[in-house]
Amino acid sequence: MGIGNKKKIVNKVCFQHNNKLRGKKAYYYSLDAFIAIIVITIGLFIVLQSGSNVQPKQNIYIFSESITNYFTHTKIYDLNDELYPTTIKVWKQDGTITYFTNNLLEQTGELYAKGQLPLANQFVENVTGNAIDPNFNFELIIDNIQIFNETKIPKENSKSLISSTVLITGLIDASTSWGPYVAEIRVWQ
Amino acid sequence: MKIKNKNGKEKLGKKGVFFTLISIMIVATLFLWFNGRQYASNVDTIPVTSERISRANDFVNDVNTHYIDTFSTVATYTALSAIITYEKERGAFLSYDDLQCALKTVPAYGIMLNGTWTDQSSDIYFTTTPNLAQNPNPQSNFISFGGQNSASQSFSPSSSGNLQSATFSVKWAMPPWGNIIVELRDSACGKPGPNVIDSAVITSFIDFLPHTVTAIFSSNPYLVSGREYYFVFSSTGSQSSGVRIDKGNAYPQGQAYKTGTYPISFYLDSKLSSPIIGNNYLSAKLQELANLSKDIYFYNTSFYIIDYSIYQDNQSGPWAVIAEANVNYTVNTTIAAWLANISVKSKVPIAGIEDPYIAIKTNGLYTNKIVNSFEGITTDYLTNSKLWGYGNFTNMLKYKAYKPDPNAPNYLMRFYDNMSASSCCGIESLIYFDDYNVNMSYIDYCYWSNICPGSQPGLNVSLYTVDELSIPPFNFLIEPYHAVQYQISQNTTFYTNDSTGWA
Repeated sequence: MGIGNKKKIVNKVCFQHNNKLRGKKAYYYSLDAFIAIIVITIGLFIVLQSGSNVQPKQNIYIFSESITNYFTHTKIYDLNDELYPTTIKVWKQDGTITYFTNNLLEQTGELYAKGQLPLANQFVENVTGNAIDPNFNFELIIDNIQIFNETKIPKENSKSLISSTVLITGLIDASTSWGPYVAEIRVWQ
Repeated sequence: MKIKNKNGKEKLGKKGVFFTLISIMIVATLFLWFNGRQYASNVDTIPVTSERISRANDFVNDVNTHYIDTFSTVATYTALSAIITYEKERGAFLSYDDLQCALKTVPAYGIMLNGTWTDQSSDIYFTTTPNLAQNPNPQSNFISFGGQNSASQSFSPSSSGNLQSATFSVKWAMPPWGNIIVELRDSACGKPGPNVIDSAVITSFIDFLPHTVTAIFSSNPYLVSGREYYFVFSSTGSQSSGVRIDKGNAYPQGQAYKTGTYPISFYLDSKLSSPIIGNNYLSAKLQELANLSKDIYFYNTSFYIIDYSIYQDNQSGPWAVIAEANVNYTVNTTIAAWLANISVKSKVPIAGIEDPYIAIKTNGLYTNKIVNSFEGITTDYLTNSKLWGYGNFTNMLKYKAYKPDPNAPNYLMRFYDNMSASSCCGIESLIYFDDYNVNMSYIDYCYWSNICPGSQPGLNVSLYTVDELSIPPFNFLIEPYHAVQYQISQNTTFYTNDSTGWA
């Protein structure tokens, strides 16, 4: 066997070996890319998950602030009778609601002070029907008495709970005032 | 470079995990970035601070626009009811001055001031620690007090500060010995006010020599420059004129007084057969609010009522009174503080409150409550629309209602028996009982005062009977002015020109 033939044989072996090696390399590169895709996918999933944990904290804070502001800054005369259950309109007419300058929390406090707890509960239910995000739990307590409760998960199991307290007082008539009471709005998720 | 494994076979090296390394780096970068964002969003101190200030600002707004107004409305209504009851149970009207004073102190503190203070020729010697005010140089010239007598010295601090103590010179004129009580009071109606800011007890000594004594005010009350305060001296252990307090120089910023009345102020409820005011006076409600703000918000809140007044004017009209409260307050949240003087005017309706005039004039036999409508019509409407007539006139009598009239006295004037005209706010009712038959118009303010529009006090006015109404013993009479006002002239018959009225 001549040198030329030996070289041919070596070249052939090398070529075959190189072909094998190339096949393996391609396989490794594919595997590498595949692993990279998995790593990125899992990584993105974890990052987004941890990112989404931040969101509820933001939302519950905003929701708590907005529901407290709604209760303390919305006056009875602000309520559009057409957009709320007819009981609100009826109460305005039959004298159940007398002071239209009361805000919603004061009106609830007045009903509580008059001993009309079921009416107070119904009032809060009516005015919050469209205002409460169903993803949140909400509770209104006046003078340590629970007036309204919209609970899907118990407070004990909540991830985060925000409580806002407000002092409320008002008139029953010119000779009698009620309060001041501590009103507490609790929101949790 | 080629890397070989144990078997000598060639490895792929770093190229083999290139994408994995890159992806790990990308994910790590994303982690760092998101964590950084999360960290930044959880910096709670800024939202908490702004939230606390925002909540405190809401509280202050409520103080300005709601709390004081609400408390003041009820305090005023309750105070008026209590003062009427006090007058009824005493069977006498208050004087104008006493009423004006009561309208300040009762709604603000639930307290009435008592007694008359007489000026003394020179002022009491005193010094204070720190030196907020002083009248130095005792003159060995004494004012006596003790038992049922009290002495007082008004003063006005030249600078603001916390008063720790005040020094005086006293001696006994006669036994029995007792403790000497020094009260620091605010000022109201030109005399020692209802608010006892602090008090101190000076332990007695058993001799007749002058002693320099120091009253220690343990709460270190904060005195405001320019505001008027009083030291009030009394001694329960002594007989009248048992203690003597030394005078000093003439003191231009104050005056010494003495009274033989004891006590110099009292809770009005304590003088009534059943309490009416309770805790519905303004200072009690504000204190309750301050306590609650401390409990739930951790605010240090304090209120001081500078002045309180109740009056009627064009703004109030005849069917309400204006309650004006001037209040100084501070709200301290540690990160922010509010300090303000505000004047809150509340329009308090008088519907439903008794008329003191009818009650006292009939010795409590009859009481009228202020009513200004009947059968769905207001008397304002009837007056302004000139729709009076026999039917509405008899209804007014039936429902014991009141109508506005510029020649009649207003509601507050009825507390001190002043039946002169109030153009903005005069109201009148009709006498509906037959216990007192006199030749006088049966309009309430004419009936007892002998003053009717068109007549001079003491001069006669023509009187008319009203058809189907003036049937003895209820001999209802009316004079021409009111017959025209009620549009019943055609239903009247001349009765007499001799309006003898009440003696």
